[in-house]
Amino acid sequence: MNKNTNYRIALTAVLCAQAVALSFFENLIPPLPFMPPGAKPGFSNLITMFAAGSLGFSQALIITAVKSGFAFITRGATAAAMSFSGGLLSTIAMYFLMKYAKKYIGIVGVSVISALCHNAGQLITSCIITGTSKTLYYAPALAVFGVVTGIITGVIFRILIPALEKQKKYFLKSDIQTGGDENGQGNQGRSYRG
Amino acid sequence: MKLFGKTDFIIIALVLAAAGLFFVLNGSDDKALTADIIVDGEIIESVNLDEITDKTEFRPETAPRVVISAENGEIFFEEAECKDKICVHTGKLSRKGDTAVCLPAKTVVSIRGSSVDAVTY
Repeated sequence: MNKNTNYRIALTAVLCAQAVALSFFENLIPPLPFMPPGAKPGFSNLITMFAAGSLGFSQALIITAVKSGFAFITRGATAAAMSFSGGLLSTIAMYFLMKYAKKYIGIVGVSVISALCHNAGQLITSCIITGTSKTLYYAPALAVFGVVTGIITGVIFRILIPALEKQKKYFLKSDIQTGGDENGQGNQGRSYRG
Repeated sequence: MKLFGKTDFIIIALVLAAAGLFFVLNGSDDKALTADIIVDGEIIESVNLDEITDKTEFRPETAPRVVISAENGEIFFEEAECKDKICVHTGKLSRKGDTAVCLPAKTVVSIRGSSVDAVTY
């Protein structure tokens, strides 16, 4: 435990707030006829993706959990279960893809796969809740929608990386004061640059 | 990390191809359609949509409450007491395979062909 830990907690908290804010604005979008029922663009995944790729697995999981908590407060237990099951699977996918498959896959690919994992988690949960596999009827439509939103969030993510990295530096610049140079810090070494 | 590469293209193409295949295989014009109202995994009502002439309402015992209506060969969630109303926004179901889900009420409405070989679970 050093001073750095506090800054990491603060950064994670700010990212949680940003993820929740994005979820909130997303919920304001009215249901559109061409969208599968209940489908959302998943913009808060921008934040989870940054956390999974640049901070660490636990930070990304915390953000996912906070998002589910927000869903529980605003939309109830079912929404929270859907949010968490989807979020958990997609966060796991993001983390491992960005850690081990960086060479082979692009940001769009990670974003699309994580969107599909999000759908898969939610479909499994909906089957469990309703006690029937009829909900799988939505799988193909959700897959197409997931590809489209995955590409869009992937591109937005690429644009946002500098801003998110800057925000991260703002919190973790204290690393320099607590010893070690900027590049030497273990946790700061992982970034999208280079 | 690059934005987009060959692998990404392959992934996207595969997923879209798989989804397209499902859409093609699902396309059937099976007449005599039956809608199942499923609450908590059990079929509580099977509605033959062709036999319904006047508007018929179904009010399964669920919490939150939902009202399912059948009319003119269509069936739909007319009302729901939940917050997001995803089931109501799903709209009217009329084709084989069409499904509307209300997760909070654990209620599913799904249309199948009436034929005997219809897949049950």
